[in-house]
Amino acid sequence: MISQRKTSFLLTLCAILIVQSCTNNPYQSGENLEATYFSSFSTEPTKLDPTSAYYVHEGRIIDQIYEPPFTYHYLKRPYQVIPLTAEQLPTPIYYDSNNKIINDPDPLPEQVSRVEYTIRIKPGIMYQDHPCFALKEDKNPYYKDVSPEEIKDFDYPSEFPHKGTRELVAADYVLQIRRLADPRLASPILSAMSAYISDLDNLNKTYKKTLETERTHRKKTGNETDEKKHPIRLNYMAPEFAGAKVLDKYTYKIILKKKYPQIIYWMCMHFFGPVPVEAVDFFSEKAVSGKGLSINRCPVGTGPYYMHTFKPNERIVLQRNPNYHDDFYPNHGAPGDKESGLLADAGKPIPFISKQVYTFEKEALPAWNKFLQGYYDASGINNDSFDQAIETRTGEDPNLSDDMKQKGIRLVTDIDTTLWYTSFNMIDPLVGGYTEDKCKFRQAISIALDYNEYLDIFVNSRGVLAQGPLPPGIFGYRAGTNGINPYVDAWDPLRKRRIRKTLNKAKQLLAEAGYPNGRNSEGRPLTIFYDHSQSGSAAFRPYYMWQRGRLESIGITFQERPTDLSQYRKKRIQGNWQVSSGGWLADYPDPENFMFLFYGPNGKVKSGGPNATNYESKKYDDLFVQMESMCNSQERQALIDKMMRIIQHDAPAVWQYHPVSYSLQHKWYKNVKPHQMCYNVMKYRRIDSSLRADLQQKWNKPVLWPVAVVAGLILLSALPAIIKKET
Amino acid sequence: MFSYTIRRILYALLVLLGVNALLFLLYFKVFSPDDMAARVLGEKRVTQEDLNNWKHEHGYDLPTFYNKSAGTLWERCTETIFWTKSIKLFIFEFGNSDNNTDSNIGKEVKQRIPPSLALSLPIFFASLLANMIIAMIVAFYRATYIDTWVLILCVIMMSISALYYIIGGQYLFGILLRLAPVSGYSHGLSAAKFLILPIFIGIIGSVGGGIRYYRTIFLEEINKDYIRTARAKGLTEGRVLFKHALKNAMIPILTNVVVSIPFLIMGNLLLENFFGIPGLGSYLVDAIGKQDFAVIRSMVFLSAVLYVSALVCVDISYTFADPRIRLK
Repeated sequence: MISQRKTSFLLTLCAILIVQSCTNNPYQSGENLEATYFSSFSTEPTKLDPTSAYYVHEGRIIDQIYEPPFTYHYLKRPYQVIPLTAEQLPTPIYYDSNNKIINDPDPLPEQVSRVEYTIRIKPGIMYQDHPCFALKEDKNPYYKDVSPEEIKDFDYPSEFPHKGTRELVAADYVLQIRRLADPRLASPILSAMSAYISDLDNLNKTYKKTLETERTHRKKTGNETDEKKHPIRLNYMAPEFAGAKVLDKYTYKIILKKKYPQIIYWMCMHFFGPVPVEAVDFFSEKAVSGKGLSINRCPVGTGPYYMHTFKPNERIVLQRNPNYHDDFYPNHGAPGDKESGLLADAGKPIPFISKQVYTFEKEALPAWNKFLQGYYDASGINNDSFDQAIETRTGEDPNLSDDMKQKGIRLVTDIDTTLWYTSFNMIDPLVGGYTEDKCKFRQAISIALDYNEYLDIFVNSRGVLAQGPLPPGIFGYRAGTNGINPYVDAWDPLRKRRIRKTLNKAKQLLAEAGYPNGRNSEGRPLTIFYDHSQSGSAAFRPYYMWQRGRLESIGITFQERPTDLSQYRKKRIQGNWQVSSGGWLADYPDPENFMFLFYGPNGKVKSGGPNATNYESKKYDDLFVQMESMCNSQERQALIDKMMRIIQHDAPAVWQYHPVSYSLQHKWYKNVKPHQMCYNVMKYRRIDSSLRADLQQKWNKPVLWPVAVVAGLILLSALPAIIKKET
Repeated sequence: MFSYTIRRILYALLVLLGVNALLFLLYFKVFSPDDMAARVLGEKRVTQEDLNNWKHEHGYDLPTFYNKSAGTLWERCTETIFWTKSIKLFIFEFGNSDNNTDSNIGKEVKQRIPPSLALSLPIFFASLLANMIIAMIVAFYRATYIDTWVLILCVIMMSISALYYIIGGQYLFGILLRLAPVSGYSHGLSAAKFLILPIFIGIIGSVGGGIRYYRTIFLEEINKDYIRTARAKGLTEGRVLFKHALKNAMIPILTNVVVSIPFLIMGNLLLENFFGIPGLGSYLVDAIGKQDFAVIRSMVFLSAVLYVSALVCVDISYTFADPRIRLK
């Protein structure tokens, strides 16, 4: 009797569980009714320290937590810098070599020997609640000298029971600038900033020395040699440092060695965000660091959101920071924003979204399907799903497919401020050189590698053909017939678009370069080598074969020289390569950030700089020096135009394309405008959660009858055999 | 049996030493630490100093086998890449991930075992049960149309790729019938709704081969003399099959079952990956994708340990299944 009861109880429980499980909703009941943004991520963020985080997927998380003094206007284009925690934009004060102020607001670079930026932050901005700010009654940090036993139950700072907050002060910004020099944090911008911020390189050397001394001491005594378990606590503020100074509680100053207006853009990035000393102390506690907690995993900031859950292989949850300062949706935008509803929330307090949930999705297909079911609010489009989402007709702009339109999904496109290019090694005797024949040789290759065709074949036409280093949206870029690369493309006046010159023109240029029909003066076939480290990439082979086919069409034999990444890197540093591919994603919206890729002194072989082609032209370099520190003006545009003509003629690279990002949004996800420069945009966006819940329910009603039918059919099909066997 | 077990454990250690040596050669001779650093750090704004820092931080700047600059002989041997990255695997000190300095591999493995087991244990037991029961039924109804059609179905199911089951299953149950989430994971009881579909797909994917395997075993058993005797005694067909035939078929079943145990712990590579289950299988796939050699080394070594241990267990389990077997 009891066993029967147990059996029925178990069966009932199983039935309840199965019926409850009959939903494809991946969230807990009611979770979708809150103002929560649901999305996915496919790459695990590994660096969340504002000193070292450099990738887009990391920026999307920490830029919502750390607040640098400045940011970009969400709606206005071209991108416009506005204060974030600062009271106003700083006016640089230029000093000459006699330490006297230069009154000219835009002096010549050679006149300037020092620049000072004084930044005053708004008072009253509070940090998120965090255990690092928790205090005991005697005002000492609550978790100072905490034992591992006391915190054994807490895996993340949000779980610690005692928390506190404090006001943001200028010293937090100066501390972070000093942290850029910590060699252990390997800041990707240290070398770039050392060229401008006074004394930063010396500070780096001082920190290195201190660390070495401490390591030698630890090794001698044999104590705490494992830095993972016992991290060395650097007293960041101890050494003298002339590059950044605290003037008063809310004011600090950054001192540059030379004129560098682009510093304002860097100050819009998390590298220049504030880090409280309490966080450094808290994460240096042995018990805390022993749990694997660090600033790198647990950001502490003043931003609109704070990190609530960080399980990079599962789920990342950002919660609205209840201490967030007053912030409002912009009242003005770019032309067309009002018409597209982007100013509907003008002047309202932000953030609108209370929680952001990012689920780890390694495979694109499940993520795409969940977007279609309404469980993700937005999605990109991968190549496999492109045809399902987009209908393209020759000569027309891409359109959403009928299925997408029926669901009310919106398509948002934006040209990335990214350049893809094929580089020639300018110090290579075959493909390099600056004589006219060498330039014609590279121009011929540029014509043959028709990236219009590439865009059609490989990326569903999601790209804009590049004419030079500058992408659209960056000052200096010229659209239409004015921006055309006259050595490679021509203008079709009827269709009003660029068309690639013919292969016959490429062959003609090749003959003029001394390689008629792809043969040199001795009649030998011309072979050029493509150096790469992408043998393991599935996408690489078709791309390589396409390039090979294109060059064969003008008689050039194109051969690959694959190596591992380390060897490839060495080859690049030594200049021992011929043709290669690369890309550059803008750090900030200034032409200098692209044009410097071809500035002679930045040559990879010469100085290990970002000029991978080792291109060196005196004319170009002189113009670059004039242009780099100028404010945007007609004069600057004229200089850029000249530089473009030089570089288009010399052709140190085949200008491939600027990618166009396509993203899809459900109709309940509002205020979406793509932003290429900053990632703290979620605070402007809004979710209509009741509309979402209604549509999710409508789209995802379970269908049970086929399961019952199949089960019945299986039973029925077995009956005759059972009956036969019994008889 | 004790001396046999000790001998087998020593053999197992030798095998593990071999695996370890191969791993070391592959990951430190074929892929240099410079290559690892370059892969992890990428190219944008990376200097040689950054590469050196990375190597120092991850302990790849040490000499390979012998550290002349260290103090004592012990330190000269232990402050080397071979000791820290290879020998320490024997005490399950895996160190940290190459891609993520803050991620301790040992801790990560511990955290990922429960989701892997939550997926693989139900698949394992349910498919074992289903395979054996269906195989017995098929054996019972041998030479009827059930036997023929089940065999045809099994061959078809064996011929279909696991990937097809996954994508097809997600499409059918997640999208068309909308009965289960397409992917995702949650801890505790709420994991059930995420696991039900991958478990079902896992079972479906394994029954084709399983039924064929167990049917062969049962058919061999039910043609033996003791089964005829049991029937002659008047026992029911169910009792003959489930009590007598099943017990005597335990040796091949045990071999199959115990050898599968390491794979349960190591997770299901494809299912975990497609359903977003944060188990060991997806950890390994991730590490391969990101070329995180520290994780790959640790996982390969862990698999070898589990597999070799399972083989020892198989031998020992025979003595329990069949009293006639003695290990010497």
